Amino acid sequence: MERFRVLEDDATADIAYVAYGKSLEEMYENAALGLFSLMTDIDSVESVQIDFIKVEAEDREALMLDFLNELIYRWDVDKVLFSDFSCKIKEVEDGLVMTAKCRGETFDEERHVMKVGVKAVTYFGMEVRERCGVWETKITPDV
Amino acid sequence: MVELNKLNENTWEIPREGGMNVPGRVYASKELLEHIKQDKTLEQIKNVAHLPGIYKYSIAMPDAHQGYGFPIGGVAALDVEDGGISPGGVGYDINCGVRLVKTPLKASEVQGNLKKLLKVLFEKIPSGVGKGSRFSLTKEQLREVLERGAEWAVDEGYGLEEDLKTVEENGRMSEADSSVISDKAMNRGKEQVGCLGAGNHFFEIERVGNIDNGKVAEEFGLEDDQVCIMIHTGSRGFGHQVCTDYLRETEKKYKNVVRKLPDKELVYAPGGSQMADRYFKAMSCAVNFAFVNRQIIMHQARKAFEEVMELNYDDLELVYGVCHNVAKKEKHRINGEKKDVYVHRKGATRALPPGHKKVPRKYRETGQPVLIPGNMGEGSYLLRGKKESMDLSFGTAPHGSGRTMSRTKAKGKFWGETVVKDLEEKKDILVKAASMPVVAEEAPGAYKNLKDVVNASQKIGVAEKVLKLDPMGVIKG
Repeated sequence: MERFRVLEDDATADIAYVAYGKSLEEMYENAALGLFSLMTDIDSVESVQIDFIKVEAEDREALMLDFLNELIYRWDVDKVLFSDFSCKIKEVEDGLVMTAKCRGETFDEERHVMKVGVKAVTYFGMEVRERCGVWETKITPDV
Repeated sequence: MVELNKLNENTWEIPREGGMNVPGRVYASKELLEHIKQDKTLEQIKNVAHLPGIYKYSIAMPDAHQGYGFPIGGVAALDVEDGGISPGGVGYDINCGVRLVKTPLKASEVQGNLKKLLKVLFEKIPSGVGKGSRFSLTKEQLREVLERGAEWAVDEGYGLEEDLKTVEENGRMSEADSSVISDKAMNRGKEQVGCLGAGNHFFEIERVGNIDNGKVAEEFGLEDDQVCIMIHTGSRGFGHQVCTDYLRETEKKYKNVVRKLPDKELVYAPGGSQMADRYFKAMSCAVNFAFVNRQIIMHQARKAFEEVMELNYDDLELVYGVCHNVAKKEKHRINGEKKDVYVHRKGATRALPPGHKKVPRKYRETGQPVLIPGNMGEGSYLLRGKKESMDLSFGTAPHGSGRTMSRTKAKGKFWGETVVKDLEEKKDILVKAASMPVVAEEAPGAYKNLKDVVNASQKIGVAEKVLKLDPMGVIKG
């Protein structure tokens, strides 16, 4: 199954892609993978460090927004590029809690070619849904 | 399909229907309107019209294209009490904007040194994705940046007192209060002051080309073939974090408001609420951050011209600086009554007429300089604000040429190296770029024709052409 697909015509100013998953968790993992694939050549990023991320949000879209924005924050401040993700999601009374294991490494100018600087993920066009056993949502980052 | 009625050659109305509080209004020539119809801009203009306390109409400028919530090139004035302020209506890159700086040199005096000049500038101004600042500020220093804006930069030796007289808000929004800024935004901000960034941001060496209004050009201190600099950047990761923080906080606090809106990104802090007050203070911090950013880049330009062209520091003078993504508390006459409004300019330039008290004293009789940059092959235009803009667009003009295709499509269509080679061989424009994929995304062919946008602005009456600036050398992130 395709993990994500970059859309050609969807965001005049920026970039948009669709993330897929056989489970809800896998869709979030692939959304994160798609994000870092836009930014750099993901194959050049080694898994030498692990960041544990916990995100709580009121619904699936907000969870996506907060998760991806947390990753962007870590890139922007700690200069970490991630390439491997493992997400667990639990339903709680007022929403969802995600714990994510994110593997990657610190940005190295010699080895990592940066393609795009993503600065935030927006709600534009985002709608998490399940169709015939496949979860998907569109994601529109601001660059 | 959005219904459109033609009001005149360059003005179109989207009739009020459903939950719209006012009609939509699109300022564009027939040709530009065809571009605008290609994406969701018109629907977004309709959506903005749903906001409470909105006056007159939800406006799209001639360069409008699809954004998130608001379109880019969208303008809306919301009552400060009965309306509100929308973080998404200001946008992510708060106070993304431009500065025009003039040198005393003619193009022929710079041409021979252009390559060296670009090299030195590129070394002095960090550009591109992942390139942090040369400044690492402590939290206390960053608080000064956020609350004092360009005044801080001048006090620290990154500019001259004189510079502050010709920037929107004199380079400082006094409402800024850093106590409402999150730790995350502080962490993103402290390593990012004074860098250009990437995407559509640029540093350009330009020459004065065609002059439409010689008298006004003279009043702005510009003459034929004079070398100028255009700086385009914003508030970097700091502004994005402020937008994200307040969008989420507002969304969580006003769930009922969100439910009634056609698009979540339009969520607003109701007028008079503590949230509106806090967001305005936070937004003002980001505005000041961007003012400092452009001030420091201008300082580096002065240093580069000192080094390469043997000029004095004060030989480079600021003509004017404008904001492109901002909300301002302004007074506007609406149906004969003076109203206090938050004017949201999302990818739009303030364009004040002659005589307006917010126009710097030296340009008071001429009108506010309006800077409209285009793509890297096309250069920029300098216009001036006109009386009619107050009634037509709450004193607003377009901010650029606007894209016609997505970054992904542009990358598939253009090749960065070819774009650079073509610009050098066919147009005599030197490009120095941190990333070739960014050059491909920013290829001139991915943008609308700036001339069409500027001509439409003049015909509509929101601003009047003064002169064109032709590019000589470009730095892209």
